[in-house]
Amino acid sequence: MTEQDTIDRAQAGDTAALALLLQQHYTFVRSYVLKLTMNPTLTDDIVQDTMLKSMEKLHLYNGASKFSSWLITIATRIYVDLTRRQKVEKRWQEQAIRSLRYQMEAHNEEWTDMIDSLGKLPPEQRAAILLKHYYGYTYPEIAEMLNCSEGTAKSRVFYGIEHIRKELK
Amino acid sequence: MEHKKLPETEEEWSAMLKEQWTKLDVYSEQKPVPSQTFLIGMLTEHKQRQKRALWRELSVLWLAAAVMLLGGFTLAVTDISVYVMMQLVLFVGILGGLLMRGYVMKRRRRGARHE
Repeated sequence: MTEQDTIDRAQAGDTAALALLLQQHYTFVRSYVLKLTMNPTLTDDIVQDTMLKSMEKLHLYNGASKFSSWLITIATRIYVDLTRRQKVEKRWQEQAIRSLRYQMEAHNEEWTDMIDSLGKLPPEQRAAILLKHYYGYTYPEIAEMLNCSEGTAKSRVFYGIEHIRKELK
Repeated sequence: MEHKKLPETEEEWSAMLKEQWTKLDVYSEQKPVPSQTFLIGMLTEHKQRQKRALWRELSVLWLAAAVMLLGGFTLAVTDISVYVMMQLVLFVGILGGLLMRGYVMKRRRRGARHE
């Protein structure tokens, strides 16, 4: 059965088909959300919210983008909304980054200055840089995902890179 | 912590950021993917919760509508001039509220676009 068949079944109300779809994309979404938030605890919450939101909004999915892109758009918007409502305090974020660093070092992965500076970026800049430089989305696609204009998406990437450059100098 | 030469071009930035962000995958990979049974349970429970919330909202709406209708009817029978006055006040209030909401939403959208 192709992914489109599973999507069709899920859109027709088949919960098992939706569960299968979500299971297939689970690692991709979690890996994206961790890079986006750089906060392991928040990652689990956002991934779960993304799964539930995708069920509520599934009827709106029209195949214009890949299903995985649609899922990470939902995850991004949940995270941006959360940060706008100032639910992620700075001190929690610092604590989360320390915890992530500890986890990585426990797996013999080196914690670099670059990762540290990525963690210090404002969330909206980090999201734009992640979508542009890691996932290779175009600016119009990023603008659509972040619900902003193309110019805003470009400036977020630009200022984000400048921020990292300054941090690392 | 290491100190590498900073990238210059967009491609170099992409390569470096990819390399750095990939390091975080070690954390994602160590966590198990939930089973389909767990996901079905989670989705079904959420669906039921949503349904219950919708029914609750609908009941509140029906109750409010019944109170409004009964109140309006009683008022119309008792004193028609007060009833007409109340209708006018309600109309102006709702119209004002809708206009205000539209204005606030437009401002918020403009703010997000020019951020």
